[in-house]
Amino acid sequence: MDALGITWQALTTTPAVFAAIGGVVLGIIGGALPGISASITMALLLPFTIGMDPTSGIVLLASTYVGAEYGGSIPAILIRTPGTSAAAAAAIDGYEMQKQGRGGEALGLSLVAGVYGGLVGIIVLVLLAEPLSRVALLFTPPAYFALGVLGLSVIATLSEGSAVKGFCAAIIGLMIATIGADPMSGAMRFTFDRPELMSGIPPILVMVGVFAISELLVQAGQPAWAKAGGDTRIKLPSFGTMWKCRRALGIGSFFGVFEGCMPGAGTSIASFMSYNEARRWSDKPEEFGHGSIEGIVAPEASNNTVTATALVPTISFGIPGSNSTAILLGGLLMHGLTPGPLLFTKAPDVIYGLFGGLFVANFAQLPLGFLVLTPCIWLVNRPKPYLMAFVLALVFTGAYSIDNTIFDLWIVLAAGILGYLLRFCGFPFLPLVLGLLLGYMVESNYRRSLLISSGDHMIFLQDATAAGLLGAAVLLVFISMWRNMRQAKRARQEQESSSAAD
Amino acid sequence: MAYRDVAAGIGLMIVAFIYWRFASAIPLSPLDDTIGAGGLPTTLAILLGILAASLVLRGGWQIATSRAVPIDPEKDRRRVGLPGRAATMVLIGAGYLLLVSTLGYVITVAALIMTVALFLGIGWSWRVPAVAAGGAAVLWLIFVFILGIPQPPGLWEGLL
Repeated sequence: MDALGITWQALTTTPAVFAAIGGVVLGIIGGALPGISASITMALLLPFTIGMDPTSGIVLLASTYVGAEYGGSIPAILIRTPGTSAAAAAAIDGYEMQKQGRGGEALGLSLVAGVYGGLVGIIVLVLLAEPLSRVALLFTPPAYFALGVLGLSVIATLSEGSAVKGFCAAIIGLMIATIGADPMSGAMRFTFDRPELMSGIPPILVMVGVFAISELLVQAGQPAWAKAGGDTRIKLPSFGTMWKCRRALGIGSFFGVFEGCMPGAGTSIASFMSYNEARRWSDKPEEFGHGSIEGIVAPEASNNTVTATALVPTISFGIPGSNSTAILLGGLLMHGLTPGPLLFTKAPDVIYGLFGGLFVANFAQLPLGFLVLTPCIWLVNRPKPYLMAFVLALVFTGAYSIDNTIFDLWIVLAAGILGYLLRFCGFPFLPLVLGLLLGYMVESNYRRSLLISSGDHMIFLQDATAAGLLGAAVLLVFISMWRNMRQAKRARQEQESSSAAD
Repeated sequence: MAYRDVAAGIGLMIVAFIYWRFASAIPLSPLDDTIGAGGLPTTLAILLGILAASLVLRGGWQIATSRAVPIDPEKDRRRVGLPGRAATMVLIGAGYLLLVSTLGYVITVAALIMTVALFLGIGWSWRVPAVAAGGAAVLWLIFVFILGIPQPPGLWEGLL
């Protein structure tokens, strides 16, 4: 009952409801523009949240994530160009329906399935988050250090690409986090006598550069996308149609819950797994790939379930499951809210306000899905060079707004180059961002622990929680190494057998 | 990807070395604990060096034993675009940053929109400067006029 009261108060005493509605609108628009994914839209909005109260700022970011997952399916269905990577699964049957003149029906199915998935996700989030908050009492400085190490290990090993590259990216993130004053002694590190660097590099600048600028650099070398046309009026499905899709909805939300709660998994894996399983369990599997309504419902329910369930590891343990939740984590840190178990006791208004804001965002998605569709299609049909030019101008303008210094813009540009180089060489982003966000927590708790134990490292094994978390991290690294070796062996065998066949 | 792994590994080894040199030069403080301000940075430099070396060795071994999987140019373009065009975009961005404090926000951001649009393939017509000027005006209205967030005024500071 307390939680409901806090939620109501957070929603009625702050502009969180407007932030939720605005976030959904901006998310749908951002998601609908190919190349501008959920994470980039959130990165662009991050500077605006600085001046907002924490609840509204976090609700704005989370609602953008919700809206972007539906927005991504608009170009996926209309022009077979997914606005977000997770919408690629919906493009398979959605575009087939569009070709059959059923594009409006596909958009309606996507919208309703997304709202259903989002609501399931929020229920799971509320149910899981509260019990996890009780873990708070177990966390000591050694446990916090171990939690940071486990988080980095999980993300480094589960992100795309090899685990070695994941760990390299995490270390680069940690290295950037060491710039500025030392958290214990105040000694200056890597500042080169530049006053701008003394308080460290704000993670927000690196995130904007790594996500937004690097994507613009990639888009500069890619052809323009097709224009949307044909039937673009949303037709909402009847209750009977949705009842027919109940199995696909269940599968979608199940994988959304499962993958969302797993750090490093994210929406793309969830949507493709849902699509595959929905086809396996369907009464009409032959329709998949030819305009099946279940082929849209399952991945779309799954995407939006993840937008809520991915917040479980993010706000409970400070381990984001995707790029979008990493930016949300950055938003929390920017407002002085340390992610982790204590967040529930220190800032319940923000957390319960976030839950309430997500409910509002999901319900608002239904009418907003109708209202924003026409402007979205108009934007998608604008020439890509203008859109990209405007986004670059928006990135620089937004980043300058943070501290009103050109130096920050150089950091954004440098982070963009770093992000592009990482992509070029096949390194994942997420470990870098997480290293940057968790750097302070890892270092300060490591050194605080050693101060408590007078320099004895055994403290990390004597603390049961810390020992358990560090053990899990070591186990994860070994499992990942074993998996990588097995994959390499299998690839080698396949290569040898194909060359023998030749 | 093996050649890129080797190149990335060598690059990261250089980064690790430079970082380690600067980490070693972090001054000792009377407030230091047992680890010191340079403790974590030194450890990170060593870890990165080891991981980078393993990347070089793995890539080198794949090249030497002809097990390197060739890169599909079409897939690669979809993934990372074209490096030359990306570099040009960086130069355009750097140009904006060099000019904005002198020429001021509105003129420079209009020039940025126009330059990027032309570079990305829009054909020259009267619409290009019009869209650029309109875009700059919209951004100025949102940030400076509505939100009250100042942008670099440049040489026009006294006039505004």
